[in-house]
Amino acid sequence: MENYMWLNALVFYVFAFVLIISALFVVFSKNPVHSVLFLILTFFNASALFILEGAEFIGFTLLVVYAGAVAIMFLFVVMFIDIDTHTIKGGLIKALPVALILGLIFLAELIVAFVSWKIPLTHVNSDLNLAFHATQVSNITDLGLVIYTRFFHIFQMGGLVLLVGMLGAISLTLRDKREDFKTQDISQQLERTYVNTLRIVQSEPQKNDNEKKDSENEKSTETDTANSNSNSNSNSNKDSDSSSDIEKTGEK
Amino acid sequence: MITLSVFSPFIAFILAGLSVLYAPSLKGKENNDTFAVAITVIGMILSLIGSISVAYATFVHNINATVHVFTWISSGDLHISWELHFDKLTGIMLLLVSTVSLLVHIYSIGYMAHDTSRRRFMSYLSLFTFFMLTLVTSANILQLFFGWEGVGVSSYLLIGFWFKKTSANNASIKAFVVNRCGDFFFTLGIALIFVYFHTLNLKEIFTQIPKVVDTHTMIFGSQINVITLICLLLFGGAMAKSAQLGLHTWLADAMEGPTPVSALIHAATMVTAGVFMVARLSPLFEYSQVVLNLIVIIGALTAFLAATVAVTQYDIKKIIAYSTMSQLGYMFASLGVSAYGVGIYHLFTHGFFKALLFLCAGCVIHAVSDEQDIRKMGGLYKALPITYIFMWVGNLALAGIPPLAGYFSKDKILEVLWSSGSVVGHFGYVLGTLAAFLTAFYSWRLIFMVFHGECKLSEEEQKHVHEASPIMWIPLIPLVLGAICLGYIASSLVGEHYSEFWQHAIFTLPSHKAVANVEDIPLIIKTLPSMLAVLGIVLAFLLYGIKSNIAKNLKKKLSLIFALLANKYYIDEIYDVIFTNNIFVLGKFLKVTIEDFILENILIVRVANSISALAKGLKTTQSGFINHYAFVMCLGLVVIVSWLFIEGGL
Amino acid sequence: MDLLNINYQDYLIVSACIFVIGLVGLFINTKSLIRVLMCIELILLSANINFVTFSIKLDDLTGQVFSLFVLTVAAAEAAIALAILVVFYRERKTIAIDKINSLKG
Repeated sequence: MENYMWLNALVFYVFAFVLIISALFVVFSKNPVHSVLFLILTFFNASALFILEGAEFIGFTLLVVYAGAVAIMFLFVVMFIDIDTHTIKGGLIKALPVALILGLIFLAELIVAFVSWKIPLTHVNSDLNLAFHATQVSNITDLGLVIYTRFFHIFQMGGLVLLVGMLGAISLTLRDKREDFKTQDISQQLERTYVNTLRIVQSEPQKNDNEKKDSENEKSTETDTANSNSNSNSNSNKDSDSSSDIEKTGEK
Repeated sequence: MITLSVFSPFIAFILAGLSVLYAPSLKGKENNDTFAVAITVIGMILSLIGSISVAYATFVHNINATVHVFTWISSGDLHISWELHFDKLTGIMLLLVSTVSLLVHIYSIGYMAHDTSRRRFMSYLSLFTFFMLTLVTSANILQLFFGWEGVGVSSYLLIGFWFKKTSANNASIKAFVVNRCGDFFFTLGIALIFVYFHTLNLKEIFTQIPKVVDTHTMIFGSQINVITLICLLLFGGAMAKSAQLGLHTWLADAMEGPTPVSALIHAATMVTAGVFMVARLSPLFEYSQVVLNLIVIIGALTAFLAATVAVTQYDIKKIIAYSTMSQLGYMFASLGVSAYGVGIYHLFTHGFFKALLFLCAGCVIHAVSDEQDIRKMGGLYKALPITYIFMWVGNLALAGIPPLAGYFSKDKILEVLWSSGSVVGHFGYVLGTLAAFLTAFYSWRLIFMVFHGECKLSEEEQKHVHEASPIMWIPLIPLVLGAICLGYIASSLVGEHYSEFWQHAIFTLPSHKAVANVEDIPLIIKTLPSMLAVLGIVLAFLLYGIKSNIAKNLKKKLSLIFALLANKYYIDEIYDVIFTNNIFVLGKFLKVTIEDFILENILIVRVANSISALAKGLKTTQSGFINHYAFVMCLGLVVIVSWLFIEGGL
Repeated sequence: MDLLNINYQDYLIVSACIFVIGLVGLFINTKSLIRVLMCIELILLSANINFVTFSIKLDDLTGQVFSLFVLTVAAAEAAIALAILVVFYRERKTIAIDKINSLKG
């Protein structure tokens, strides 16, 4: 174990260094496309750190979810939105030094806090201990055993969060109703009675073509009683008109 | 029954007040206020029935009882129930109040017939009656105070009933403010009672008196007996309510109200509240000889001085108002010599004949087109025979001519004053007897000037003079009967069985022997007041009855005194100089300096301006750019974390 | 020797760096809303690193499970935020932050 220690340290330093540098580029690079790419790099390095720590499942999930899905989604959006690159350039606030000093102070405080903070080791033996399941060594198995039992409800709620997120994203981006959509209006459907849809018109026997043309408007007996979709009412009217036209031509 | 008696006017008031919702008066049409009128009169009839039954129970069956209605206040040590207490004192007062009130209600139907807001008037009257009945039936001093304030409020409303008249508004405000001065003392007295007795229930207070009687307290650097202090404060309240010298100024002005109001409130009932209160708290007052003496002095002075003022007045209602004041002075004087029963007796008879006089005056005023100056009247006896006769009866009763009501009660007062044997009592007797002379004088001066001599009204007004409608004079008949016989009928109140009769209602120390010794006074003392009264009538006849210039000559010769009296001893003016003007100055100062400058200018305008300036400044930070907000957020975060670091010493 | 011995504090320092970079990135850029979203992702990532590190350190799987849920929420958040961004761009034809100040009072 002693021999691998330097290797371990080396890997940590490399990944941590690249992680921080790429995070900086996410913020400071001028082109947002580059930012997204650096974000992906950040996630890669973070997942490497997770694996180094021993949380393999989280590491790989991070890769799949973030680098694979979220970051690519970012990329899509960046590409979609037609950004004028001129306006993008120099997009930093004027009080940049102040902000940086503020950030540095905060960072220093955090580091001091973390380094000086001695975590009290109150080790509690439970099924949540990493080595509780002595026969299994895999991190994924450990997680699976608790997620599907102990944290089942929370797991379900996580699923719900994703569902809501999906529905929200869809309903937000869905454009206004297009006119050629055929949708169902239930209230209108229920309101329909035969009284106001069916109309009986006295039709006289046809005499000649001229008269027939005059009486044609009256003649259009409603035929769409069977049609329950009221939204297509106008369409069906047109249909019947055209069909009567066809009749007319047929008689000619 | 007593509950019915007290609350039926209240229910009538509410219904009459609400009736405006259901029968809104239509423009240009006759006011549809029949419901309000009927309901208030019915309420008063019910109340009278209740009162009669209560009076019967207390007089004949000698019942003393307390009816618990509901718990009013329960807070810490303070437990106050709404209780109706009845004994003989209550019985008499109930009888007086509900009878006079009913008659005034009926009278008002006629008197206010042409007024567009008769509904309001009737409901106010009922409200007043409710408060008065609450006052006389209360079993604890706070409930009494409730009634006390309630009658004050309804008095205010009724004096200012014609709210379009400036003088009526001023008078109502004056009445309220002067009464407030008295109420201030009264409230202090109640608080002091609670401090030393830890209760406000009258019965409990009375049983605890022996424990408290020798307690002293420091006030203004001198030792003073607690009972004396309490009685002094309570008497202060009574002085304002009963218009005793010093706090009397509101009563004459209160005549701005409609005449039935004057009859009911400012003659028969409300002004007697102070007398009633002192009688009710007699166990307390008995232990304070100082205050008793003070009461005699104030009462006697009021009786005399008010009578002198009445001699010079020309307003028919003001004459009667000062006469009321004078009679109240008598009552207090008798209370002061521990003859509480006698005071209440006079209160009772006086209620009847003074209401009669006021209502007669109302008839006169009604007849002569709302003229109140007696110099402009004269020779009205032909046109107003009924009123004339009634007025005579009322005045005979007032002057104390035997065998009318006033004779029994007023002479009884003078007798007990004499028989008390003390210097103060004799002082009261002398002033009271002089006042009796003056009473007779000004009463007949009034009669002669109004009903005899030449009529000075304009021709048109003379044509208009007419006797009042039956609805106005029929209610006077019971009052006339009361003025004639009540003195005799009710003389058992103060007769041989005085102490037995008042046993439970009134407490008198055995050492106060005014009533007990009343039979042992010289005949001359007994008959002097009546003789002087007759003399007064004769003098009035000489001066005003027959045509002569004596009155005018006399007036010229005594112009200084006359001016003094006509201006009511300049008390109003003195008050103006001492209090009112200074208060106006103070008010102006407060308005200009405090209100306008400090509050308005500095606190409101400047603060408002600076806030809006600040807001304008702050508005610039509201840039709308989200990264600015994020920056500020992070700044806050960093500051907080840094603060924790510094505080934690890391 | 100390530098070679990588313990949990080193991971925490890395996470702190990422956090501060994300935080500062949130407000120093004025041009692109997308970059703001990316910065939020960075912050969430640093939170994840912390969770996992403490999970290992404290020998407790809860941290990793929580980290999974953070991933879930982050994914949903990114999806909705990007959807909003697209809709916004459709409306205003820009996503430059310094053009968006309708919050201004």
